Order: sequence, then C-alpha cells, then structure tokens
Amino acid sequence: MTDPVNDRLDTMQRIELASGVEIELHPAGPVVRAKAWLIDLLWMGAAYAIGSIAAGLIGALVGAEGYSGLMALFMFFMSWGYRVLYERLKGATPGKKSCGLRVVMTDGGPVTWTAAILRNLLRVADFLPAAYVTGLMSCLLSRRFQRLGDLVADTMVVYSHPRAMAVSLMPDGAWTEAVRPSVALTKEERVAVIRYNERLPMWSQGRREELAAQLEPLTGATGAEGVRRLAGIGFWLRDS
Amino acid sequence: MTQLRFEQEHSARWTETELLLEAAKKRRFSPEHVKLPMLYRQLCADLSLARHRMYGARLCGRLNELVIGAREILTRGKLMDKRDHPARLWSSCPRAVRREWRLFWLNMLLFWGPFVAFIIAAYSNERWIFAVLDADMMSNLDDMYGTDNLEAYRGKFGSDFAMFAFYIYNNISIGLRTIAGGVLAAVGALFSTAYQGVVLGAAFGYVHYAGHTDRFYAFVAGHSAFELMGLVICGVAGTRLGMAVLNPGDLSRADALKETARGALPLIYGGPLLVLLAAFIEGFWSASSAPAGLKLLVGAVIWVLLATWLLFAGRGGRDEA
Repeated sequence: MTDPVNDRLDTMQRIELASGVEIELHPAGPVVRAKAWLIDLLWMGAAYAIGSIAAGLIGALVGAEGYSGLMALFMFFMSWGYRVLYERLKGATPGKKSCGLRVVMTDGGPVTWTAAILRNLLRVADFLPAAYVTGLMSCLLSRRFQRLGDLVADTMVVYSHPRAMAVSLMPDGAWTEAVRPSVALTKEERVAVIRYNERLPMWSQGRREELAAQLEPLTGATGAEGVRRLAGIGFWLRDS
Repeated sequence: MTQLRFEQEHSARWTETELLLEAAKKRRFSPEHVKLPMLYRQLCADLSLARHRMYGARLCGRLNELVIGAREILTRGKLMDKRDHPARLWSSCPRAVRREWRLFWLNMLLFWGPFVAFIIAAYSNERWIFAVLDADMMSNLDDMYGTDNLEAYRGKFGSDFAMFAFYIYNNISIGLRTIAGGVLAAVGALFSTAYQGVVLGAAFGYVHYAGHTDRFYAFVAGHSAFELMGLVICGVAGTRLGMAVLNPGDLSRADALKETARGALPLIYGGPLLVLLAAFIEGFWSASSAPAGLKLLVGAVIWVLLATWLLFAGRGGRDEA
C-alpha cells in the first residue's frame, strides 16, 4: 500500500517484506548522527583511558615493551574493530544508541558482519578531507542519508523507536462528536484529516486553527469551531 | 470494524509478542518462542489491515515496530553469507586477483616501479633518494643494517611482541586506508600504493647506495612477500571500488558500489590478512638469530609459494553468484 501523503513529504522508507507487508523505517539525518559521533568520541576517550591504565598495569608486570605492544594492539582495535563489534552485536555504537539510532541493512534486517566491517572501513574515506565532508555530501545526495560506507555496505542508520508522532491525548467524544463529511473525500484527503487529528495535541491552538482554516469549504467554519468540526470529521473517518 | 474493537481484539496477542521479543533480545528463550513465526505472520496481517483501514499512526507505528523486532529475531541466524565466509578466501582471493588482472598489474607497476627506479638511482643519481628520505630515516637504516647490532637496535624499541603489535597497528592500517581511499574514484588507493612504493623503494635504494644489502635482505626476506603483495592487493581492492564510481556501467553509482564491494570482498579481506601474516613473520622470525642464508632461503620459498597460490589456487572452481 502506498501512502501518497507521506511519500511526498517524508524521508521515511517503506520496505516490502517477503510476507507482503510493508515496514516503515525512518533514516536519521546528518545532525543527529554527528551528535552520536561526538558521544562516541567521548566514550572512546574513556575506553582509551581505561585501556591504557589496564595496559600500564600489565606493563608493570611484563615490562615497558609489553606495554607498548599492548597499546598498539589496543589502538588498532579501537580504530578499526570497536564500532564493528558494537554495530554487529548490539546494532549500534553507544553514541548511536544514546541518540536512539541503530544501523540496519537497507532491507530493514540486522547488520551482517561484512556490512559492519565495510561501513566502518569506509569511514576513513567519508571523513576526508576533514570532518566527514565527503560523508555529509553523500548523505545529502542519497535518498536514505547514506554516507559512502553505507552505500558500499548496503546499510542505513535509522531511528530505532521513531518518536511517537501521534499520541491522541484528547478524549475523543468529550469535546467533539464524530461528524460525517459533507462530500466524499479521496483516500489522500482522508489520510490527511486523520493525521491532522492525531497531531492535534502537539500544536498550539493558533496552529490548529490556522490549519483548520484551510478547510473552511469543508467544515463551513473557521477558528475554534473549524478545529472542532474538522476533528469531528477525523473521528468519523477513523471510527466508521 | 472500528479501530477500538480491532485493538481490543488483538492487543493481548501483541503484548504477548512484545514480551517474547524482549526475552529473545536478552537471549532468554522459552518453549513459548516456537510460536514466534506464527505470531510474526499474524502481525504482518494485522499491520497490512491496520494500514489499509487507516487506523492511525499510533497503532500502525506500534505494529510496525513489532514486525521489525520479530523479523530481526527470526532472521538472526543468517548473518554471514556463505559466499563471504573467510574460509573461502583460500580460493576466492587468488581468483579475484586473476579476475582483476588489469588493476593488479597497474598497482604492481605503481608499487614496484619506484623500487626499480630507486635501486637504479642508488648507482647513478643518489640525489633522488635523498629527496625522499630525511636524515633521520637514513641514520635509522644505517643503525639497523649498517652494523651487526640489529638485536641491540630492537632492544631500543622493545621485544618481538612490541614490534609485532606495532606492525599490526601500522601496516594493516595502511592497507585498510588504501582500500577505503579507493572509493574516492580510485585516487586514494592509487596514490597510497604509489606513495608506499616511493617511500619503501627509496629505503631499498638507500640500502643499496650505502652497501647494507646483506643484512637488509636477510631481515626483510621472510616477511617481504606477504607484506608487499598484501599492500598491492589492498591497492587492487581500493582501485576496484573506485572503478565502480568511475565506470558504473548499467547501474547507478550507488548500486554499482554495492555490487562491486560484494565482488571485491575476497580482496578486501585477503590483502589485510596477508599483511597480518607478514606482521607475525616480521615480529617473530625476521629479527631472530637464524643464519642469513636460511632467512634468504625461507624468504625465497615464501615468495614462490605466494606466487603459486596467486596463480593456481581456486582454478576450476568458481565464485557462487
């Protein structure tokens, strides 16, 4: 089933599964991913501090050479293996997790070892020439906000629990009643009205009235009355 | 059916599924989990129905999450494509090198060309060598190979283990960066390969110029094959990725990158693995006190084995599509 309203407005990805049903995934844009990256940087700094203390303690037992060897192996792991392990085993690095993100294959499935390795290997190229400029360009040019590593590995970064856009806090019947629309609405229009209802609680009264006023020909009213009538149509569409 | 009734009728089942999924995520499985495939199919039907009846984003969102979560648990087993399996590298890597013979020889030329040039320069125009190496590097080479105190020199840096770890960190990182840089229209990979060729070639040239060849070749013989050819294969892998950007054929560039990466996996894994092998040899054998003649012999044998492997391994078999 296509969703004409969303397909035009949203970055949301619809993926058809073998069972025929479509799932929706919300790719994450560069800003929240940059934030996740910064958190990861702090996290890795902490891991680095702990790792060097641990290597130092072992080094005290086996000598300075053992220490420098362990540190080299540890740094190798931190630069090439750390993110791979997290993304494959947990679906997200600690930074991504704290921002509510995770890595998935573009078909929505969990990341494979190969994909986790490839996308983090290509990180070097995405970073060039500085501060992920290449990755940012690639994100902005691709439909799913994929950096080069994501394109090569066939992965994308998505919100793991998309913010609940629609928590209908308004008691349905309490302030308005279901009203049958005066004209037959197309599917696209019905979806728009239902969405309006679902998002009502997030808006100020002014915004509600402003949007409802667009539909004055349908509701025959503006202002608070327009909102009430439009919401009534929404309830009718949803419940019948 | 109204949304309310739909929710009332099914929400017990959804809650049950949610609990099962949460337990499965923590890897606590119970006999109840055998119901998961059935619950998953029912969820898919619920979601289709909810979407079709336009039951609103809250309900559809919840079902969407449930379907994704259930699918993740159910498909968890299939995370390593048989084709990607490292055990296949024995035959798939040389096959990939032979398939990409043009890019292989391009990288060979870029890498080994400077070696030849600098060794010639050592006997005719050594200023080329001085243009590349700074004084520190030259005095290091003198320290290491000019006298019989390679072991003493090692003592300055640490044990075999420390050197082995350093080779892993340094050399494999170079190989991995070469591959990654390739995705930028092959420029990164070709530059990196040529750059390594120039720096290493200049070092070889200097050793010839200074007359340290005996000790130098005894030291590098063992690990040279794996390290240098590993770097070349990393170069091939990177160049291959870059070719997908430069010449995507019938595919979009994004699709070409994806497809090419699949095909180039044996090279992407194989190159760094060869460098890893080299790190073992360089760390634990090359500086050992074995006689120089033995070291040279072992080095020659490894070169022959590596060439044989690249030329013949995996012939007759084919890569699964």
